Amino acid sequence: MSKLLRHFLNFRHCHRVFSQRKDDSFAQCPERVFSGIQPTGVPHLGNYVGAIRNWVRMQERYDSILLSIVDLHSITVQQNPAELRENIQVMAACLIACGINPDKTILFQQSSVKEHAELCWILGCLCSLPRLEHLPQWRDKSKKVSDPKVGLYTYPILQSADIMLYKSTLVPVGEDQLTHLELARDLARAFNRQYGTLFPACNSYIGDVPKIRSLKDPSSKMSKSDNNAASRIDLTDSSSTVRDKIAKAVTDAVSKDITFDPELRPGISNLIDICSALTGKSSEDIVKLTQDKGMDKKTFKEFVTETVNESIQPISSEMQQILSDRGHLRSILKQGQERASVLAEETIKQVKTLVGLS
Amino acid sequence: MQERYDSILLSIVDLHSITVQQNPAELRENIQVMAACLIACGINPDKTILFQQSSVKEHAELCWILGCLCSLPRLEHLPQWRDKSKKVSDPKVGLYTYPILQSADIMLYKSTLVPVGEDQLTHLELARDLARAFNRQYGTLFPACNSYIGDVPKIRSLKDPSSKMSKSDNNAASRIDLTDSSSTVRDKIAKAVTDAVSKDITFDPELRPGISNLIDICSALTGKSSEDIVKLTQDKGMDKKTFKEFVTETVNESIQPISSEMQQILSDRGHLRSILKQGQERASVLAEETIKQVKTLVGLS
Repeated sequence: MSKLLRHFLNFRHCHRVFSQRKDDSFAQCPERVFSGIQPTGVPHLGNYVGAIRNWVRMQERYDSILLSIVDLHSITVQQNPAELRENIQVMAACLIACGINPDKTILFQQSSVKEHAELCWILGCLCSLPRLEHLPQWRDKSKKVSDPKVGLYTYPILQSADIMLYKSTLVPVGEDQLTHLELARDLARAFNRQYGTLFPACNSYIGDVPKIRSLKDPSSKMSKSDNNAASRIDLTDSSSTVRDKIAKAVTDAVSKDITFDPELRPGISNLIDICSALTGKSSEDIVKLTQDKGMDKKTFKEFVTETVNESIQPISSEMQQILSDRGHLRSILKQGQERASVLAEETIKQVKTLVGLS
Repeated sequence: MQERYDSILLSIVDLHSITVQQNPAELRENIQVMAACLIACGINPDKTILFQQSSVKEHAELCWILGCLCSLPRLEHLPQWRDKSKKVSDPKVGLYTYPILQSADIMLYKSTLVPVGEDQLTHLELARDLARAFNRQYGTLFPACNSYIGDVPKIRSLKDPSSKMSKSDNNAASRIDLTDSSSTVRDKIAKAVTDAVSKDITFDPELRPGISNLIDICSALTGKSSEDIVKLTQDKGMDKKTFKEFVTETVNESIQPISSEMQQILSDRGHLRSILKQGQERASVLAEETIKQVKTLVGLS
């Protein structure tokens, strides 16, 4: 790319340069978005509204955007190989069905780019042990698993490698990932200080996204790990399954009317939130609609069901279509791997030269 | 071993070396120096696959995958970890996961024999355990690797014969480097610790460790037994001074050719680079095949 063009692109992005504070510890690099998602089966409505739809929208606003199916991360807990293999395909198909455009987003499988593991090792040689031990997520995760593996412990270092390999500047994350992002920034700073300024600062991007609650226990998030499948709406749920789950969703006996009150009426408010998230209407507008139409709980639930199905049935059938042509899906992932590798190989070459490995 | 085994790999493990902080320029040069030295010592790149660890990306890949098999307490209890972590003020994660990368090194080539010093035996055990764990969980892919502890003499420090000759000793005069000049060798041997027990040369590691170490050095380099060396000193009526001259000659006879060969190799960096490139290509053929099999069994592809 010519110097002039690069300068132009940087200038064009300068209104977003607020995200790259002038800090001599970091390199100034063109804006680049990186996200990762574990291939743990079909995403649910919370994933869709909370993360995936965000990534789809960011495609319009950012020129350089990578989305990785982080299969190396998923094996930090034991997986069934056949299931994992299928889940990777399912996740890819789902992301595309949700609107991820492989010509705009570099969509790729993490393990297909060898440089992730390479940078992970090199960063591990920069990262001090106590730093990892004190991460809150480690303490949580290690309690849940009976025999925690080293990979679970070094999980955040691989995350840092994922981000830094592409000199990412923006990482859309949930709040629970903020400490990991901090680690990535610290490792970038440490590398730059020890070897030379190569990496930019990565900044978090916490979208203004509604948190979709469990249909059975609105005090908890809608979650894949909930034993009760009826607590969540999976993107591949059939129309009737959606109808059934919404019908059985916890509400309350507070009032026959539909009102928005997350504290007193968490179940109903969650359903309002779901409609709001999917239609783009505010919760006030949704409530007004229920009043105008004189909805009671039953009819409101029918409305919710329709709204949900309107969003997810197209996704579901698009997914099926994509999954019916595995060859094409494979070629999409191959294209992603090739595009990601160009960037990854360049970064690793620079890293190895600075470190003295070549 | 090149004469006895058909398939033999020797890796310059630079990824391992960065588990403690290195000066990049020094590291870059040390890799070249090590390669030149190994070849000068007789490593034949047509028989041995001689390669730089970091040039084969699959080492790091298999290291991650094995890390997902290895339980944390297993690493914590390795004796080498406890030793190493005490010596370094701010131990890095890489130092902790060092043995997992070692296992990956071994398993990537489905190695069956690993010549090691005794201090590496617990690490080899880890490699066997990880191979067993992988085979049990995913399918039988890896062989058992066995240690090969040669009947090799332990060369002691010239200044403190109770310790091994060691690179990390602050006193350079305690060791003989392969690139020491003839006069440096003469000097170091002359100043090597001996004793006042006797004017004669006798082999007694307990009472006369310094002298016995010098005998061991000669024995190791000439192939003669320590008894034959002692007999030689008696036949020639050597005292300590003349014995030390003999030791100096013996050492220089071995290392000066190595040293000058090294210089020659290092004077043609292009050729050295091509040797390492050839090693990388040959190692990669094996490594890529293994990783493909691993990823298929694990479900990554």
